[in-house]
Amino acid sequence: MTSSVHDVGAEADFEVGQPRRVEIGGRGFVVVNGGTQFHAARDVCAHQGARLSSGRCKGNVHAETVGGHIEYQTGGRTLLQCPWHGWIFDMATGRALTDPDRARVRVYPVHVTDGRVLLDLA
Amino acid sequence: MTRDSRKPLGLDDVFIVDCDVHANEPPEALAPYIDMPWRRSLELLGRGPQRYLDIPGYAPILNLDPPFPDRGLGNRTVTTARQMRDELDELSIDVGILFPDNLLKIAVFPHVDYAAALGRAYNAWLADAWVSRETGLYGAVLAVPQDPKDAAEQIRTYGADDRFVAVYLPVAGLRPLWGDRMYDPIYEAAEEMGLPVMLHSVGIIHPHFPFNLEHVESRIVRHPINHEFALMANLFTMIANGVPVRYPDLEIVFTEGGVSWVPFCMWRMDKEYAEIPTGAPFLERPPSEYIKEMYYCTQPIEEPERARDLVTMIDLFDGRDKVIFASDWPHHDFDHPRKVLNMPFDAQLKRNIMGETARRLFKLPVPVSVA
Repeated sequence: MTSSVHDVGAEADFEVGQPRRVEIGGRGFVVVNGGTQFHAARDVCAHQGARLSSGRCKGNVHAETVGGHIEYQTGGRTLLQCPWHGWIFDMATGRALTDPDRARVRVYPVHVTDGRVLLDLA
Repeated sequence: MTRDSRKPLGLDDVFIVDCDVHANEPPEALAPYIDMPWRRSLELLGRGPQRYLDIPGYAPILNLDPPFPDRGLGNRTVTTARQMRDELDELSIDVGILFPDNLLKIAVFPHVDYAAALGRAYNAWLADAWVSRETGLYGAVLAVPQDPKDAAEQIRTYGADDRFVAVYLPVAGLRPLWGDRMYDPIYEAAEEMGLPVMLHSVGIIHPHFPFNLEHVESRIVRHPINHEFALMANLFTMIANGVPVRYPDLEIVFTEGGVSWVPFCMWRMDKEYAEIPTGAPFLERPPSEYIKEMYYCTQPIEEPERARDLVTMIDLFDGRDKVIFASDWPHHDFDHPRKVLNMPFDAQLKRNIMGETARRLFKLPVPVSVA
């Protein structure tokens, strides 16, 4: 394991869809078990600085046509909503759904090996 | 120890006055402070189901929206002064000026005596359980628009108490608008007591303009109309009826509208005034000059793509000593003081916005810790 990789806990401790805060070297990160994949990001909302780990995973609404069907969906993504103002971030990219070019949080590779969740800050 | 002047100002480097925080007042909390028969009313309401800002007969709302999974931020409330002080400490806020939650809708009640009694009860409750110079929690005297004479008495009563530093003018569902001469007793009392008046709206659907939005599908349309449009409409009537001329020592503050509508109002009113000066017979100067003398709370702070545009916006109305910080804590659209402090203002403008201008406006003492 390189020095940039940190063991942040057992896979079983991360419930699907429940964001969790971990601290490494005084910095906070939010780790989410998306069901098929883990995601990690800085635990600081790009908007006004709330802890994203206090938010929750959810879907988003989408409509193709006026009067058409309104979908409530995730599109296979792990979407994390900030607890303060409701901004929603795609945890795979760190980008906010409504303003992806301007509002983003830094994301980090995270993977599971031998039942342990490993966060890479490189 | 002196601060390194090369470092950006941090939250602990500035005196922060938050000009809009909300105390939650469930009916049962006000019941001990209200006269009969209304005490019985509030006791009954206190035993019934209570939804957030949605209590028939107390915080009425025409809620036409279905519940939808896209929301779910939760509705934060602050129910005690201790809780408020602790949460403002978390936000590095030194002083908070209190507004109600439920009674943001007090202007809609057609029963004048009930509305006046609610206003008196709220002011008494604030005085008894919330305001304190030691904790930096100050009150804004609720002026019930339905009964301006009673409101004026309340302003004189609580204006003599140095824990009350402003007068709250409800906006949601108000009719007529705040420029109407029926409100003159409120302005006379506020000017006499040296208390700024603070207009504050809230989201509601109601027959009175500009809240008659029952036909509007989306909340993201109704919300800014409920706030900024309502403030503009009230400002226009106050200008046209000469409130700032007839009460020259009265300070007027607009809350929860941000600042970017102010230049529009200046220029639009100047244009109207130039064409139809008889429409504002009290004015001695163009409307824009009075508008520049009023105060504007930051929340919800504009977040333009180029942050410096906000500085330009403030300069358009000479607002460097007229813009004052507000968070709107604990409401869903609150602004963290860091957001405003990190805007590309120079250090003096930051100090002015975050607290110095409000300290002067509300004649607040400076706590020893930040003096």
